[in-house]
Amino acid sequence: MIEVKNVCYEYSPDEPSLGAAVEDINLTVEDNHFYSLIGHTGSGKTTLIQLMSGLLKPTAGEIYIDGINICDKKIKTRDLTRKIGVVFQYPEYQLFEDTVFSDVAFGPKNLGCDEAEIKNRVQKALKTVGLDESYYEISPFELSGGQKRRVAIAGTIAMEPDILVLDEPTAGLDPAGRDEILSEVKRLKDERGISVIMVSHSMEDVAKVADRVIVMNKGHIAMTGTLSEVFSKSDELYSMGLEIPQISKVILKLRENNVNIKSEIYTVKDAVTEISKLLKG
Amino acid sequence: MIRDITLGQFFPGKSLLHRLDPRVKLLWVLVYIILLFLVNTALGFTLYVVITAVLIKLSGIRVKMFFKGMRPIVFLLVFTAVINMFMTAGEPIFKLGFLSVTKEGIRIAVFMALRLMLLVTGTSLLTFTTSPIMLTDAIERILSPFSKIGVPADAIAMMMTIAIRFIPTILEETDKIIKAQKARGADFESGNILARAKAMTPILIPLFISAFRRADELAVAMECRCYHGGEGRTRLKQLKISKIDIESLCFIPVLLILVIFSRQFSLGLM
Ligand SMILES: Nc1ncnc2c1ncn2[C@@H]1O[C@H](COP(=O)(O)OP(=O)(O)OP(=O)(O)O)[C@@H](O)[C@H]1O
Ligand SMILES: [Mg+2]
Repeated sequence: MIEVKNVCYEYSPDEPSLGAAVEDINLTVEDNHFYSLIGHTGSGKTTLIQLMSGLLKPTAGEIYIDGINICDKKIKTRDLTRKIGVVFQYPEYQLFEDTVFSDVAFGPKNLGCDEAEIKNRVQKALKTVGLDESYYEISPFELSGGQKRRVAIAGTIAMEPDILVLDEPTAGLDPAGRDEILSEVKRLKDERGISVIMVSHSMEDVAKVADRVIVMNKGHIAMTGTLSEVFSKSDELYSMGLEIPQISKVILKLRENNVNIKSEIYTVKDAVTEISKLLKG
Repeated sequence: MIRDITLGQFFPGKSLLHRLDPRVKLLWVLVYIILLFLVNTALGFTLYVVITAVLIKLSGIRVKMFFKGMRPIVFLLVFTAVINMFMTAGEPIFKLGFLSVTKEGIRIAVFMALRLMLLVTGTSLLTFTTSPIMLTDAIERILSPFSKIGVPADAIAMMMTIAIRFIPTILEETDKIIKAQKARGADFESGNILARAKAMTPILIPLFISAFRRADELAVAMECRCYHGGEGRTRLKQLKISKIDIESLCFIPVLLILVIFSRQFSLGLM
């Protein structure tokens, strides 16, 4: 569980005119939920997750992970990596080893796992992201962009953190690859009972996997709640430059035209079931 | 952190120093540095500090930024000062074990530290008030007479422009990569020198790869826009020597005379 209390962060405290990147953040991330962090470009999402993973120290406020104050000087980032694992925006630029296998093994090795454990973890992680054994000995630099992304995500999954944070994991991927990664991450969450925080700009993706949504606007938390709680406030989302899923707009239009359909529909799959129910009934 | 590096930073403005021709400024910095090494009396240094302070005031840039630029050389400053203090032969003032601090030592230490600080401040005055483009333009213009004997002035200038342009980008990239590897549990702080050097590979390899990739992309982008060297290329902003440039150049002999004059005036030992 992560508790963020009154956290503020400024990138350049010397120049107050630039203001804080995030301000007054109060947030609780509970176990075993799939969170989605949404917000306009520059709203502070990346900054917030770097704060939560201990890579940035807040200028004010405190952050607790499982009751441990991570702002404490004695806590090393390295010890936090067991609890929280982050996959950054465009993580393919962090690859450096000569084979896919050893690159994914970098994290577990740093955690001090033994050979057998490392092997086991790497195999599981690569399987999760859909890369089979034929990739193990390939140089990561010979892979396509999307495959590199998968290797990088596997690198963090192999560390088996309690909370997995993904910063726009699907940006620039093809639709099939996007769905595959999303569903694998969701399955991982259900299997291990971990929490996932995913930054995304696609409301469709959010609707597909998340059960909780955190909305950021101009460095503040604008809303938090379940998927339907947040998506039901479409006007507020619009005012922050955000949207609701396309299909929900269709449903809203249908309701405006006196079609008797429930409003809490956010994925095409749900819409299909509801509409066919309507047509039959 | 890595972001504290002020090298190549430029603060846009409209002050007198901003308006000077970059070639004139370059010449001034050169003179400033050469004369700084001729200064050897307390009077001379006082003069220099006052002139520098006036220039800082004229530039309209906050003093804090100049101190920030000093941060990377703090170690060098302390180191040279200590070495000079103990290692200079002369009249001892007090002893620390087998080491003795001499009067001459203190004098040289103070002067050396002052010289280094003035050196950094003087060059910062140039880079803070001159955009990198202007600076490389000036260098190109100064080098252009030599292109007849085979010095590729425009290529040198273009390379410098690109290099300067990419300093912040590379720093940002380094910052990102360090964070990403830290998130994977990389440890850059513990272990002996060998272990630490080895721990740098996860940073250096991605950094080099991205630098090469960027260079490649940039080359393609430049070719797409028909860049083919400096020949026949015209400029958006032409450099022109104006009245204030001439006026400022008149101060060079004044400074020279003042510095030579100050060398005659050693107050006691100082
Ligand atoms: N390294 C940095 N140095 C200075 N300012 C920064 C830095 N990173 C971000 N900022 C500023 O902090 C604010 C929040 O940025 P952040 O990267 O957290 O946004 P974001 O929500 O992740 O945006 P995006 O959706 O584009 O990834 C922005 O206004 C940005 O200009
Ligand atoms: Mg971001």
